[in-house]
Amino acid sequence: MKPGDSVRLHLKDEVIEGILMPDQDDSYIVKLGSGYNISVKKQEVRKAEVVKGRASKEAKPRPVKKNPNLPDITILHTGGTIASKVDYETGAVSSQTTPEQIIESVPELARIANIRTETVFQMFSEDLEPVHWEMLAEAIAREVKNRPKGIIVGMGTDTIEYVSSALSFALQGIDIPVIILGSQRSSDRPSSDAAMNLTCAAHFIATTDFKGVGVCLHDTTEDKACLVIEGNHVKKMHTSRRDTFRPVNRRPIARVSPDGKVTYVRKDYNREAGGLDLRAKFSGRVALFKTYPGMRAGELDWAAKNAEGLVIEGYAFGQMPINDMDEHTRQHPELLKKVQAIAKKIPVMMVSQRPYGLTTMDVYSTGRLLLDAGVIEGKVLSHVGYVKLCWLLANHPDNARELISRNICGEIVERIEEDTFLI
Amino acid sequence: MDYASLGFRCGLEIHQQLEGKKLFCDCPTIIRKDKPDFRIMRRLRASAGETGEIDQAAVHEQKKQKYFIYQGYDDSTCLVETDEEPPHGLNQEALKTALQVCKLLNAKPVEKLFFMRKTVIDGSNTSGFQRTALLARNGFVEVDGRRIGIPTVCLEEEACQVIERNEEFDVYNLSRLGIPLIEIATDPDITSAEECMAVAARLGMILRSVAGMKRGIGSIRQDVNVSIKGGARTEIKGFQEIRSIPKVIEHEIERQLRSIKKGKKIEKEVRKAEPDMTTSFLRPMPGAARMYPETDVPVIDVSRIKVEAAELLDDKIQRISKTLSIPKELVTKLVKKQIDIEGYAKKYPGVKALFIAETLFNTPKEIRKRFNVEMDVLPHVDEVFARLNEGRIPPAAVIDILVSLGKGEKVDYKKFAVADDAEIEKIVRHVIAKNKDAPVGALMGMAMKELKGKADGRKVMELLKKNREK
Repeated sequence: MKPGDSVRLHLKDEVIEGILMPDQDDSYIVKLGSGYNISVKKQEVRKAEVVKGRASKEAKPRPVKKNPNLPDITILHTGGTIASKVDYETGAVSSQTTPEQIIESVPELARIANIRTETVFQMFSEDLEPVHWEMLAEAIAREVKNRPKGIIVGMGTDTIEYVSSALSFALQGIDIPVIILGSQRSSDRPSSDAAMNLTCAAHFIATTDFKGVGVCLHDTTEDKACLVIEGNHVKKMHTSRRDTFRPVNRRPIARVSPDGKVTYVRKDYNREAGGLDLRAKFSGRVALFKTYPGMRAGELDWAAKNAEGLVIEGYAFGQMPINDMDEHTRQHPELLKKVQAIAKKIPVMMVSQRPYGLTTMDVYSTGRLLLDAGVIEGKVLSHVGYVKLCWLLANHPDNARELISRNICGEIVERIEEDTFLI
Repeated sequence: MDYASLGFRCGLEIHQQLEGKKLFCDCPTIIRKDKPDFRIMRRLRASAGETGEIDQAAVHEQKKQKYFIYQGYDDSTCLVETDEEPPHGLNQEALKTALQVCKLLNAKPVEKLFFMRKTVIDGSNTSGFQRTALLARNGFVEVDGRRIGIPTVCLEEEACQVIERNEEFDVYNLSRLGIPLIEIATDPDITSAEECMAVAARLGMILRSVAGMKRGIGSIRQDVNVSIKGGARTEIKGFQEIRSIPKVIEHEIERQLRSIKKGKKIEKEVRKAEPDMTTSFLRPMPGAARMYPETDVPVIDVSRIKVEAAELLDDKIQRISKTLSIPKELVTKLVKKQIDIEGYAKKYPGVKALFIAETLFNTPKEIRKRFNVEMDVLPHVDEVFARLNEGRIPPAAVIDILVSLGKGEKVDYKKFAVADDAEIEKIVRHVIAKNKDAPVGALMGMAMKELKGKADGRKVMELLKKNREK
């Protein structure tokens, strides 16, 4: 007996028939004809028989013909499913990755573009390391040579903002749009946001002159439109909502409705392409520390010993508890000394733990003390600061410190516009 | 109708809503119709099964390509209802209540509870599926000496209530979504339309025997599955009341017979019970294979949960009637109103249980009739019964006190205090002196009137006789 088999379990006073699921502890799990799962203690089964072996019904989706009038779009899978299929007989959910399978699940794609797909890796997004960003950037660079109109990257949503930032640094000068997306409701559900995010991204790619890296996910809780946001200016703001990805300090590029209407919100998005200058290396030895009340200087010892770069999330303008104010804060200056010692060895970047606004360290004496200690202001979102330092240390190890303040690929917002807060 | 020769097969499915919190979130189980605080537009899509077949009912909905508008309320619907947050932990109260029902249905609870996602894409669930779990199996109920099998009892989520259907979109209200629902299915053992109603009534009584059931219109729903030889199984939903079950079944059989006669194929389908007792097409019969595991809800070990056996409502009425010497009809009425007559009787042993029962059920009616005062006596009875219990007021004063309380007046209990022997005697002597030749019955009436219910009749009669003989 193996999962998927049709089985008959004879108990003391009844016979249970159904499809065997993977065992749990000391019980068989059987999916009954009604669709419900039920557990049966193995010791209570007097006789077990296989009625029929697992039916392998790998139904092939219909082949998709290339339409010469439509642009080509490549979908790169990295884990996190854009499309999936439910086998109601066994209750199994399988991810759909080939162009035919994806078009079967999201038929409207076939009217927007010719789809090509490739699986780069199969990872939970929470398990991605900077090295995976490298692998993904390299896969994109390879795919660019096939001259698609654009590339879609599908991934789990937890670290989309890190990946979108990493690709923004790694793929400078790219002359096509690279749009990252995921889903907040898994794609097996009828209510999944995956298909609309995918459709909107395809519509955007098919018609846009934007060049660079962005994300495309729900604008609101409704299934009305998606936002396309540049890779360095997006943040996941909610643990579960569909509209969790918000533009920060900058308005989105465009709003795209699933019927294909693209409304540009800004006119100054990147249309220039200098040709792809692939720099896909990222240091895996950057540490990120958060400032909090009660923070102890000793916590930075690990970073001092092991890291080649340190990012500190300070309070709003980039402050830390470094002042001796009363008998409870006598140890605070020690933190400043520690930061100073580390900054002598490795670059130390200050970012704000506030989602909106920038650090302004010369406003208060605390900030000035930190600047004097060698801390460099990031002027970017916290996670972008981390990604940027990873990238700088791998690609510009000799002048990483200097480049922290340099606007490499638009990650530093020079002017924060009035209506960019809480949108 | 000769059901046997028709090849009549019939089974019931009962859905009962539970009171309290929703099954997977902390929202109240209040069904609302007032102006919503927000509206959300959504779409659903059916996913193809591995066989390439999409569930029949699912196809029916997708063909329409409708979108959905959900109405919600800030204070009684949350992100779980809007499908913006995973389900919270299972409502343990609802689980215990459902297990009590299983016990009364003689159904054996499963060891482990697996919540499943039942695909429903008509928009009635924001997620596109209903969370449902098989809770108990192989039960039965006895109805008029016949045993009707209960193969399954399920615990599931209620769906949204439809507000309006349009060509392009449907509007649903979120307040009902997620209310715990017990689903009881019978075997197709029912042999006649009348028996179907009797089984429905029996199951209704069993459900009401357990505390925690929602009451009122729509809180319990009966779906009837019927078929006859040469016809097809149809599921009839939307009965206004169980008394209409027999007539609707008869009309459905007649409809099928007419079609058979004309040689028309009868489709398996879901039909709606209309107010005129006929049925109309609602949607195709959903296929069986449309469930897969709900991975957001952990498997629950049911075998560890112990529940108290609830007393069957019919048994309870019988018992209370006997032990408290209250007529069965009155007990039935009180129990139906969920008034704990036993609790009152225990709390006030110095007051006759029948008097308590009548005060609770009949007195409000009397007050309305005699004093034209509309009032709920329940908030006031403790105040009155406590004094009665201590003998501080006579039973006859209760109605006047309640009227005063009902009018919102401050009650001067001294006015109603039980008169002591000396006071009664004084009044009795006065009455006798004024009406020397009157018969004792007339004197009694006059004395009682003077006393304004402040004395017990027996006491008055005793003193009357004593003083008259003097």
